Amino acid sequence: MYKIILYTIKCLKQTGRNVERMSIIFLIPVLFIVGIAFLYGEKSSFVIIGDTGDNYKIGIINQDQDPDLNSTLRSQFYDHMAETGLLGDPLEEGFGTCFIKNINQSRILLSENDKRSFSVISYADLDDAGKAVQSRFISLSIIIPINFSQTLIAGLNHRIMATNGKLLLNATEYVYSETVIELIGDYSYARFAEATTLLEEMLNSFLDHFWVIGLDLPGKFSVDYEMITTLAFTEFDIYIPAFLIFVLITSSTGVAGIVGYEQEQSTIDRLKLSDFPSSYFLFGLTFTQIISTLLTMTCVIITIYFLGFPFQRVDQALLVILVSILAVLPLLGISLGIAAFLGGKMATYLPGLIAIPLSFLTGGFIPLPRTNLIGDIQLWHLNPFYSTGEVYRKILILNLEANQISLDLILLLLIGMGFFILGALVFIKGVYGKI
Amino acid sequence: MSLKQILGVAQRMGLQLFRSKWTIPYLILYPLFFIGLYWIGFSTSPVGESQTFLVGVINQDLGLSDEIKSLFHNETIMGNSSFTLYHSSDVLDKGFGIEFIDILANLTYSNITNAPHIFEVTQFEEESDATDKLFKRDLDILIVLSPNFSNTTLSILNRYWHNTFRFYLHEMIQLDFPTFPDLPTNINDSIRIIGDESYFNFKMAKSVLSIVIHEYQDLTTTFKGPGGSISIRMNKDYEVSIPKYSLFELSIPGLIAFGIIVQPSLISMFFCMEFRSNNTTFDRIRLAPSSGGVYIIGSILVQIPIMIGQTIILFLTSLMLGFNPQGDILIGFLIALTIFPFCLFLVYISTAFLSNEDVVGNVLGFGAPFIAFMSGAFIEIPKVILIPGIFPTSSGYPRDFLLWDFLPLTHTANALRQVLLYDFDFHLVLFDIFMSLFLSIIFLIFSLIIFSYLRFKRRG
Repeated sequence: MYKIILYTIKCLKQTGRNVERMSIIFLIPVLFIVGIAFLYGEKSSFVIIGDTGDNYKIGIINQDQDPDLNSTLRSQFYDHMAETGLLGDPLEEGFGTCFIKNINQSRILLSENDKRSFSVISYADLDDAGKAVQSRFISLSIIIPINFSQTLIAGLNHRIMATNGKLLLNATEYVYSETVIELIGDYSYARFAEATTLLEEMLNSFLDHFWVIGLDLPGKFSVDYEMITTLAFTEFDIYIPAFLIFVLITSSTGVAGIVGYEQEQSTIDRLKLSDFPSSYFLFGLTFTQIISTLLTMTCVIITIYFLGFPFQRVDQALLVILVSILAVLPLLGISLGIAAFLGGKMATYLPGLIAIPLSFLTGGFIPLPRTNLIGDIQLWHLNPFYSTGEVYRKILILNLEANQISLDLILLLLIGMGFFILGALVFIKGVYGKI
Repeated sequence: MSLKQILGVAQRMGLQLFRSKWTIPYLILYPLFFIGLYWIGFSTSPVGESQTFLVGVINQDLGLSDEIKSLFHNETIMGNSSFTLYHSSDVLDKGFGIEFIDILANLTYSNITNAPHIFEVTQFEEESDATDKLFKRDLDILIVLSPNFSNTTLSILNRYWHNTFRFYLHEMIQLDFPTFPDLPTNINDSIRIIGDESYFNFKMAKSVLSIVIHEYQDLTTTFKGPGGSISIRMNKDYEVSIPKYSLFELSIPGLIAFGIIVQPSLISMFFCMEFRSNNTTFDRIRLAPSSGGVYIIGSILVQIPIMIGQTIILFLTSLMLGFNPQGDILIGFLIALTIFPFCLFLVYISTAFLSNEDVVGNVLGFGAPFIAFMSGAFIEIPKVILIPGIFPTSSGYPRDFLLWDFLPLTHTANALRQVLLYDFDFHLVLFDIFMSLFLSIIFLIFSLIIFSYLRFKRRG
């Protein structure tokens, strides 16, 4: 045990004496997290590819035909229309054009508290509009139908009759009629769905100005949203579990570098000749990695706390740090395996380089498809960082208790231990075992 | 400075690089590992209108009262009117809640035969069971219909009837059947939607579900306004979804762009070996009549084939793993080349300041992904608009100048996506290609100045 402690101290000193390497352990992960908070600190956009922000760009193909009303009729309509507060003169230029004008100034049609706005681009051709939607430059396109004005005037005519008992236009020509504004968009694109909901709100608001002023508003279903997460998270907060995995993997290469250094300096050969079994070497390395990980993750957790991550309990942070220690095992296993096959240099670099795909394989950025193997165990659990990410997510985002993360913890421990044993065996056989 | 000197430096560095036992494994393994891992995770992930959301439903709806049911079943009273005109035939007996759930379960993305369903519905009795599934992400979203769902639906219908005809539905029936009871007129109820705000699928399912609920109310009410109806519907004839790509394929342009800027760590590592105290290369260069420029140009010469080789491997790996771009792969490859000066920038700027190869590797290990995140290569990032609407785009709508536009990788990833995924003409992405190359060169020149100063001139 004494020799293991001595070797651990030697490794720690080796790391500590190198200012640049120390900066890897403390400074760079912190800077990375601060930078990411700057990128994703705002509310969630949840867009993998496409347009983002509070301004929705939509394409419009306006096929509406102007209302063909003579000046007398127009004047009669004006007499029965309340001041709508909308932009444009629908009886003069058409309801379609008027609707577009008001979408462009969407503050008029959306509720006052709504921060969102719309910008409109006109297309003459369906293919052009479709291509713009497909490439996600715009959230959606709409086609305003040829009878948009006709239908609105019919409705207005009917409302005037309903409230004043007087028909301005021929009831057989301007009767109840239905028309549809067609949407071109991709249901699965979050921006499309958001923009559609807002567009419906704007259309209803626009129609209400002409159709239901003076009438009782109908009741309707309200939709209450309840979150199983108890707090509101920014996009940065939501991605934190995946970014913690990234930091965990990438910063581990500092210790993996020790393996490379020991190989390069022939320290391993000297250890082999002395009374220093491989198990001591592995234990020493493991303790060094654990201490290094503890320090790194503590720094990072403190950083995300100061960046405003909504911790709900003190033990959330402690649990995350403790779980990170378990994740040391697979990290070491991977580093040792690579060192055995490709040399110490690759052990330093490769884990860092594959940290991005491994972080994505936690499902923390983009959901992974469901692939249940046995019960709740998924194929992805074979990746120990998936289990780690799940534990981080359940602790930090869902605020679950320790007993609710037991399956992920057990799988992390078992699979992680498997990785470590495999890496260690390969390393001992390939590097430490030969003289 | 002579060509012979430059070629001499390039030859020496090239030989050293390729004699190293890890150069070839790195060049071949890295793209395979990188693209391969992503393929494992996301090659079967549906994108576009092929994704089916897992919806849990707790139906607490008690349905309509027996009295109302029997009245609506009475053909004498209802005459030719029937609920089945707009609703399912058993809606009166089973309630509007069941009808709503059936609608959810049968919704498809289009009218095409075998079109994928939008929702896969599972019913639950206990909310705790469903919530547990939400925690495990076995459900994307949970919807709870209240006991009063049917009565509220009837109330909405009655109210719209009043707005349309100035009479409630029951008032019209009462003209002929005075004993007909009043139907509900003003019930407000809510539908509860429960989910995990941090879950991507929940956000998408929530958006789609809100449209469905809205449209169901239209269906319920039949009439929109007093004299007509203008509603919003999907165009079923024009396909704009991108179902032919999996999430893996959709991510390929960003991954290639990122894969290219990660590769400098190999060269940087090699440079660092030159800086070590036991290596006097730089001292000899300083003392020799040849300038630092010889070393820089020589080192650039040797990096170019490595970068081209690895980019080819990145493209080939993507194609082998099933990436099937709509656009021209050769144009995509040429676009990828525009980021090379930026790769060189990463090499020279990192090695200008740092001498320890482990540290350089780690700085780039953190730095390159950060740049890729900042460029939106993996996931779009929120906008920080500097100048609104100044750049022309192929959509016809001018694009804002964003903070991230200072990074060449933003433009490389944009151009690669537009060409590879959407088959945009070359001229439509010319602006992004130009910016990618122009900014890359600016960054490279900056790094070369710093590198020359710190590595060759500092000690006079």
